[in-house]
Amino acid sequence: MDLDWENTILINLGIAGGNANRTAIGSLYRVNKIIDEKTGRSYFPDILIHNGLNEIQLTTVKNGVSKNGNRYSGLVDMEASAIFETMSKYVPTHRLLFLKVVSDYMDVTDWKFLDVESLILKKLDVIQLIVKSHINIDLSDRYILTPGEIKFLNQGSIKLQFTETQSLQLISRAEKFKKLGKEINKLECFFTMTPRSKQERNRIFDQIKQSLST
Amino acid sequence: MTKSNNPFLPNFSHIYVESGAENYLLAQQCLDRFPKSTVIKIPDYKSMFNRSGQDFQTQKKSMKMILAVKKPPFIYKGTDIIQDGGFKNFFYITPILNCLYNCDYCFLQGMYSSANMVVFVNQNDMQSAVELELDNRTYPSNPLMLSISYNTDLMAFENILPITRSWINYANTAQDLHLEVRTKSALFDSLTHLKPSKKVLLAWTLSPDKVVRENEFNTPPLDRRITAVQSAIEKGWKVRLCFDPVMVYAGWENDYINLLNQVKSSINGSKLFDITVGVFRMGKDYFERVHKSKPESLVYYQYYENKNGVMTIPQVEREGVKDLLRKNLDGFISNNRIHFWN
Repeated sequence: MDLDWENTILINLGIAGGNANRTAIGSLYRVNKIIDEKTGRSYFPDILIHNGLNEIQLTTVKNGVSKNGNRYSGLVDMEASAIFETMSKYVPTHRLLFLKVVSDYMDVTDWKFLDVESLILKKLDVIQLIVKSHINIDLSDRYILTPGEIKFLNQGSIKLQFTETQSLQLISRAEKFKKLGKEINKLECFFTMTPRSKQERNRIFDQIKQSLST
Repeated sequence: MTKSNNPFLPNFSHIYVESGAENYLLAQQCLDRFPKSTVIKIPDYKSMFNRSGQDFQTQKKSMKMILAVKKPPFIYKGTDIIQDGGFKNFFYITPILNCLYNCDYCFLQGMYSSANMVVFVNQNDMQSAVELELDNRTYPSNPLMLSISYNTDLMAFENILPITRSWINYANTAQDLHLEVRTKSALFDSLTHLKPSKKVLLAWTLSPDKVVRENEFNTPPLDRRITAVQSAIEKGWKVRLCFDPVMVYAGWENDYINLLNQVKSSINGSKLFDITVGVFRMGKDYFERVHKSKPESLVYYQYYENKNGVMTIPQVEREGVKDLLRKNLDGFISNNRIHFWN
């Protein structure tokens, strides 16, 4: 997947069955623990920001539950654990939000009578506030080079026919250079060169390293 | 929606309790201390603490607590990076993982993928392991020195859970056991009701105000640490001063000379147990892990040399630190009571 994960907040918004003694139909909950019933694994999204929602644990099941729902202590859905497992490879645990509206008490005989759209629409204002509270620079990935600077360096690497390792080293050294308050555009003079051999390419790379260490 | 201008939840808004940990007294004390926290049961502390995809520095803005039952090993042999202060049988334990403070040079952010704090509730098991080690120590004619504050600042936590005093009480009953409690805390008051113990070394890390401000986030200012040192000495406790790490930056010499002058004018050197001096150092793996997270701190973008797998400042700078500290501590405390890491 080729997306800008650095600024992504992933929200799994959906409906879930609820324990009749602990939840209310139509209520919106934030999930603080997900149990995958099949594997027994538990997953924990980080909850760092004030949200004012009631929190609850959720069990992800393989097949829909339509009776004895109260054996689950919180909510029940059919996707959250897979979403966490897959998406935590791309998005850090503090930007994974699982929001669930209780649609039933796991006693539904005919699913077509569930008005999912209406349940979600009634909570849209709250959901919007939660999304807004998570648009926070402190939750984003930290970066040193701007996208423009990375593009500049990558174009330079292509022009100079750097190996992948050299390209990565260039980025890393440029980050350190910039962090110490220096301008990376001083590399521009190198990026106009065209190496005629691997030896020449490596010589230019050494010159750049030298330049970034001063 | 937001209760204050700070959008982050307060530390310990959530307490994760490992299965079985709730049966321990320390767990109950902790849950009583934070009655408003959301309590979440977890099967094993590692399922929370060792998750992939965590960001240490982001979690620092709203640390959670994990209560767990420690499994063996309960006690560890001191490493080359920790100063043993001349004690031949030097060990450490980990009553808590991670720290209330957030010093940017600290190895914990490279050691753990999580900034959440793990409190091990079975401190008795650690004490049994210490007893075993006491019986089998390599140098039986020497005491066993146990650092209890290696992976945390235990004294800083004392107002939350009384773990330091529990270990001090234990050390008083265990023959040949000495403790080192290293801290930056000013919470010495929490121990003042205890009888001073000659078996306990209270070790304060002191740094210039600039370093406290810029590198030792959330720690008490220098003058409050010095006041705590003064109180401890006055009450009769054994006190070690740690200038560790001495941070090297443009103008560091003047800042450290001023620090040493302040220390010399407010503390009686003859009443100190000893002084340890060290510089920034971090295992290469930990260093690289922190560096990869693109920290705000400039510490991770300086030039270091790799000294047998430990990233540290170049030899010439290390010598400069030694020279300056030695020269400026001359006459304050005898040379044989100053230990340098190198």
